[in-house]
Amino acid sequence: MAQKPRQKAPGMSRELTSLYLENQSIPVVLEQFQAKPKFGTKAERWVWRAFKSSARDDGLALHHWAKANEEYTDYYYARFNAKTNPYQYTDEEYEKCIEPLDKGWSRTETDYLLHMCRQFDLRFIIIHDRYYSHTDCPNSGIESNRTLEDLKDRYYAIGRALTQYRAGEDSRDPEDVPLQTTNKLADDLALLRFDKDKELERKKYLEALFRRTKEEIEEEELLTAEARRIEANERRLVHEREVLLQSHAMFEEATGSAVGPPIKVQYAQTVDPSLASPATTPTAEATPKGRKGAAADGPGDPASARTIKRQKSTHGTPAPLRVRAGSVASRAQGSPGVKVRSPSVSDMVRKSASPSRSIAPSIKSEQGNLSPVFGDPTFGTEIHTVKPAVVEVETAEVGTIVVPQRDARLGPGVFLRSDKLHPIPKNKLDAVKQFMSQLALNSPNTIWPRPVMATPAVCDRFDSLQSIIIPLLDFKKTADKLETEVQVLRARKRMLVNDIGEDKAEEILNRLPPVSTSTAGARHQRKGSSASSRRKSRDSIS
Amino acid sequence: MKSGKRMKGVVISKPIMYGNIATELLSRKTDHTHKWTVFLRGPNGQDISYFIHKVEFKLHETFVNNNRAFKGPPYEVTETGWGEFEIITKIYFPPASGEKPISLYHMLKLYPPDAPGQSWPKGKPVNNFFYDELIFSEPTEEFFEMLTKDAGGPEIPLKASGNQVFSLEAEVAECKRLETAAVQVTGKHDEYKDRVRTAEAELAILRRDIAALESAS
Repeated sequence: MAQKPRQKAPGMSRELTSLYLENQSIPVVLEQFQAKPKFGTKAERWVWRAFKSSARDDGLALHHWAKANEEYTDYYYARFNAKTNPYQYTDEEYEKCIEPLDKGWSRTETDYLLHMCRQFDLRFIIIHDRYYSHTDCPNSGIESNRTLEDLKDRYYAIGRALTQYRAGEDSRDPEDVPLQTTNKLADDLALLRFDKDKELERKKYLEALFRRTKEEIEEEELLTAEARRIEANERRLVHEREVLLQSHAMFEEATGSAVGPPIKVQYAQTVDPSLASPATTPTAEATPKGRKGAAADGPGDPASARTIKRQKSTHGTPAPLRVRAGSVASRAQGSPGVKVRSPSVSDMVRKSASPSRSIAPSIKSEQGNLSPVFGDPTFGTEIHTVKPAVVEVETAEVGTIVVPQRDARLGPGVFLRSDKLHPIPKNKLDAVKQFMSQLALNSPNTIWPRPVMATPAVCDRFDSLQSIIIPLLDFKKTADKLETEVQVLRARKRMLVNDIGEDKAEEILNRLPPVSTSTAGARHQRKGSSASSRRKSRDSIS
Repeated sequence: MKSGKRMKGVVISKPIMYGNIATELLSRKTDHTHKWTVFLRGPNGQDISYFIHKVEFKLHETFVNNNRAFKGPPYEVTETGWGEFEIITKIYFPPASGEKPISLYHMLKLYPPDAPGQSWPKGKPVNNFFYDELIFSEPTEEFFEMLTKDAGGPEIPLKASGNQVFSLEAEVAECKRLETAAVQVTGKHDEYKDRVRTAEAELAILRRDIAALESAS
């Protein structure tokens, strides 16, 4: 629409304004007069003519309008008169290759069959329908119960035999024959394949499919939907299952199901600083290391079953009692079931060059620990056991020092011990914090869980506790989920029982075979039960 | 010969204690409700300045000179106020160590915790203490000498007394608590495992029954 100049005289409507201002052009559609198109040629003459078709064999002449000056060659649609040509065999061919095929077919009947094929263009349904009622049907020598499949079978058998025979009869020099031709035989034979039994079965299935009742159709739909749903979720379910199993495995590792031979270590009063005292007592065996490795491995990542193994192999140097500085005297209390081995390090200390000083707790590297993995409380008096997982570090002065794994992976620099706890994934943060607070272990006023007093001993234990709480929470979630599902299914079953009627339901249920229970087998059970119900429905069709 | 070379495999840890004490102001001259002190010291009150070069407390910007630095003990800031905010305690180490400064974060706590049924007696200070350990990993030789100097007494008291609330006794107690918790958790774990198993078994049975009932109805 053309823009109107905005001079709005007050009191005048929009239309008036546009009429008043003369330089506006008003668009109007005019009636165009359509003249009759001129062609420049004269009209043609059409003639009512009779015509014949090559597709007909009776010479019938029909009539149609045609242009006078056009020549008539053939009826346009005669090209669509496709004809098949069923096999024609000589007597010799018949005797040689066709007769041996099937004793049930006489020569007369075979000829009759082929005659019908020619007559009806290999339309077997019609052939079969008219087989016994056709005028050319022989009076004798014909079997009386030919089914459609029988006829087809015989025809294709003849075809195969003839093709084979004729290809074999080929008088051309085999060397001369190009590659195509030799394969042609296989192709042709493949085209003539016909398996009577399979055909019968196929038709039976089609029939069954056609005759399904409404209920059966619905049932099948439900089953396919369920199968599709299972497959869609399969990846997710499998992954969840694996995660659970692995976290379970990790959990067992972390809680130290196997206690290695512990080594009594007590924190030394006099430590020789120059001997770089983080080295203390040697490790237990690969297991605690492995476990420590597992616990140290990322925020409770349950998919670390592989990592557990990896850690075991890298830090796999076991027990050789490599004792270094940090004098160790064993104080003889043991937790039950704990062996005692007192390394004689005191001589090491004596050997040291620099004078020892009483450093007291300043160098608190790794002392002996509580159950397999933990650091001992400083000056821990009553309890000693195994060394934490350690790593051998090469140093120039003292050769190899043994350092707890948790500290070996620090780079150079200063850190806070509470920062060195393993981070927890954010979505589990609150849950873990709450759990810890319930057990009154958490230091208050902190963002993430941390112990009240972050000494190495406490931190070790705190860390390991953290790492077993996480799989526990996962387990709890799964347990809750499964239990709600149980409730839902129970309600459904109750509904079904009410619908059917209690007695009948009980009868049905008693007839069922017992379900074998296995933890990982629940899914298989589901599959099994649906398969059996499918079987039941199929039986009811046939 | 002291060199700046780092001592591989050497790990030294020093315990420290930090936090704040707050007391309610009973006479309100301004709208400040509390007097508080934020500090950094050793758990047994011993000297920690021999390995610390400088301590900076960064307070809320509404305070004048909110970056309070101390080159020597006592590392404390005493102020009055009414709000709780995050305090950043930055610890600088002697240049000989070649270490970067490390920051500690904690909330200034003025108000007593919500204890239902109990009321906080007036005038009783609110303590908000944190224990931590500075881990010096692979210190230089020079720093190592400094760190291993005599601290003048045990760094962590044996028992808690007065404001030294972090003691070895407390440590042992916490260890024990953690261990009992671990045992509990393990127990719970088995419990959940059983629940999962029974639930799965029941699910299998229920599914089979439902399938049978559905096909029959």
